Amino acid sequence: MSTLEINLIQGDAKRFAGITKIEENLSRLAWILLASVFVLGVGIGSAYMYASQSIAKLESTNVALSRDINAQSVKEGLLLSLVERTGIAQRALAAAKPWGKLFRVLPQVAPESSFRSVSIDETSLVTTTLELGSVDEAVTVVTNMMSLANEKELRSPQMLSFSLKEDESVQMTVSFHPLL
Amino acid sequence: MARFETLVRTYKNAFISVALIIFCVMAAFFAIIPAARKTIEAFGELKRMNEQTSILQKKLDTLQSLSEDTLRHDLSTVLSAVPFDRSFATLFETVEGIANRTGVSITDMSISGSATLATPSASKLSATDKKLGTRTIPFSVAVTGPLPSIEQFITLVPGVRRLLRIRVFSITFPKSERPVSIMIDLDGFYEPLPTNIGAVKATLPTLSEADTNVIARLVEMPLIAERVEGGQSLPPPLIGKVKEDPFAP
Repeated sequence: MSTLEINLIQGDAKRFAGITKIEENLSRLAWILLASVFVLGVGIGSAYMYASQSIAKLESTNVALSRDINAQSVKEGLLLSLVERTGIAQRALAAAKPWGKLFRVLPQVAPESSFRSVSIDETSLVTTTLELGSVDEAVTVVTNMMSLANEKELRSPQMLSFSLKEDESVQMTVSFHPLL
Repeated sequence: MARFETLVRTYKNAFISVALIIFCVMAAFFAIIPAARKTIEAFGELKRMNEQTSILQKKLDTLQSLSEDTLRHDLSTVLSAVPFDRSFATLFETVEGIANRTGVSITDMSISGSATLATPSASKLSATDKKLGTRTIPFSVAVTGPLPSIEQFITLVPGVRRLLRIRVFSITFPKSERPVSIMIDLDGFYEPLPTNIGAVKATLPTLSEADTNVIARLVEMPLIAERVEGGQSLPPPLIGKVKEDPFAP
């Protein structure tokens, strides 16, 4: 005789329509996220390990290099001193004007015997006092200075004083900037 | 309670998925993002370290390629042009030597300016020094001699290795027979040596073509004061060493 089994307990709650589809999507999303987290974790971890190891390796290399450089500190000091001093020497050389060239310009201004004084100030202005035999010689001096200015041997020629004496001799003071 | 259990049993898969998603989000916020940040920082550090290593390696290669003897010789040459102290002796010897070579007589020589007794590093830079970018010793010389010799003297002064600069000069031509007398204000150059070389990681300066040309030009200049030749005046390098007696000169 067969028996009929009747179970009155409700096995599952009544499922909402379309819930299976949502469950499937959630499940897919969860697995994708989990895989991504795993891959990213492994990737980032590996990259960090690589970077850390490389840094440690470079640190030891740098320590060795620093030690070697320190061993060469005398050379480094010499090089630094040399570079610094060469720069200073360069500036000093640039500051030192070749005033000897002025003695090539002066005879072109007037004859040597007519010079009474020549002075140079800090601005490189040459001021010279001349004693000349006549006004004509004074005119020649002025002409000479003008032509030297045109030839770019000097600039800003100026007559500072001019005095004619009883014996027709002339004392004049002129200034100019020589282009050395 | 039984209703909840039933609900869990019914939507078991959905609950597991949601739990996994929450776990992943939490892991991203609390593990992945900080770890990524740390890794990016580590790679930044690695890049810096690489650059530093490359600088250090380049510095070491440069230092190893340099000859200490050549450096000493070149520095000695440049120091003979611009000494590390005032070196009055070489200053006077140089001027006297130029006078002897050119056949003029020195009638007076005096050092002007203040703080001549201060140590080179303690002396303040004057306005001229600041403008020139180096320390100077202003001094005056009175010279007499025939005009061609005076001309040679003026020409030679800026051309000797103990570098000198003519600042001002004044020539008086007597009415009677020559000699001519001249009063010259000059500057001698000097500069104390650097006392430190900076950090190991500091970039090493290199000698430019202009620097090499300056050294070559200085070598060609006549050295009048012999005591500064051959590196005899070159002080022992203090850099990298501790002086036993800090008060010793």
